[in-house]
Amino acid sequence: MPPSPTWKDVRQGLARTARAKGEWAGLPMPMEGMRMVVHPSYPFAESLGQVFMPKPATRFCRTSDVQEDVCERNTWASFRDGREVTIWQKGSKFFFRYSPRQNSGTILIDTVGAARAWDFDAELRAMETLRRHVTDWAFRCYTMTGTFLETSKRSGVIYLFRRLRPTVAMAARPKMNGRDVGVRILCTLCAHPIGYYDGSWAGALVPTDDVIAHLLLMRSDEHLYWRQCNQHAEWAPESGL
Amino acid sequence: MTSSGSRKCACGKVISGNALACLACADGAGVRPHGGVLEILNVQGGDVKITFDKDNVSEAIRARRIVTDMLRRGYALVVEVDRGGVKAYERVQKFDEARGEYIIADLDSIAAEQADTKEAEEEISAPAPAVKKRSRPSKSLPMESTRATAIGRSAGG
Repeated sequence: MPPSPTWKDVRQGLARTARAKGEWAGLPMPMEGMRMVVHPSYPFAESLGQVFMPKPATRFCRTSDVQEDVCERNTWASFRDGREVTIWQKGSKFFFRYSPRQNSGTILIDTVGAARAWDFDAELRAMETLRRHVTDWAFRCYTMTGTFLETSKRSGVIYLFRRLRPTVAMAARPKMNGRDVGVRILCTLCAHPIGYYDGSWAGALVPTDDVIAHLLLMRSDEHLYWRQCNQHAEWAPESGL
Repeated sequence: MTSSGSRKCACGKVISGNALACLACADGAGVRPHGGVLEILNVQGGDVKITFDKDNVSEAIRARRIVTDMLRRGYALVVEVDRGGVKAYERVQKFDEARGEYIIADLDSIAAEQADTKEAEEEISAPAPAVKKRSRPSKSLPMESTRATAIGRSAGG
């Protein structure tokens, strides 16, 4: 019986397929139990997203599962409480409930799970590339803390680039009413070239390559950068704050 | 770079981390310390580098086809340009395959942003009649002497 392929074999096989298809950035590495979101224009985008996914459990609903007189009226995220509020109606009465306090624990665990997809040497090479693009101080900050700051000369927005977390965009301007409020967080910006593992902060590229992509897009075309990114509010668990 | 961490120009002056050379050297000789290279942020390999050798005709043709194909597939190509001795970054708008040149917007984006803001303020104070839309000036950069980075299509996050 032939030995089962290793993760390295799978990675090399995908690299060969990518070269044959002319995909210069390579093909993302599927991980067991993790759904991938791949840009739809990539070959095998849909099938790559579903590889190694467990079969969905099937359950047939019965008529007694549904109460016809109960319906959900509204749901929203409470910034003050950090959780969701749901209002539902049963007959003529209204009820509410708080969801459990939201945190980013599951996202963090899934991000650790995706680490097997990356090549360690590729990460080291990406860090060498990053070193060429940033100042010595920024690179030291990145190595020590996984983050570094850069202010856009164009917009004045201060960006905190982070490894395996969305970039934090901050403004140091007063608000519209002229009141000086110091530095405030506008939002966090999340984008992954090629694809990402759903429910985690991990992208298809090694973590530092994701940081390089954010940095270079911000420097070269800030409008495009904001257009490409998903914007997460600072209180959302996806923001990683 | 020196052992203390500060960078020095070829003439010996200390320069900032982003600068390629001091202002005097950059204005005088047009310093270009590297040849043309295209770095591709790659899943399997970290960064894949394609170097351009204009003496090797078949390699040059292949490299031009790769760049054209990348832009067609929606990759973002970012080139490093030298603005008064300071390294800046611009996104490639088009690529001239016949001449092997990246085409970028020929303006200092920061100065242009300030000029646009000023123009908008003037328009608010004194609305002018409709004017013809100006075409954006462009600039060509030969790929054999330009450092570029290719970033794949974004899937969001």
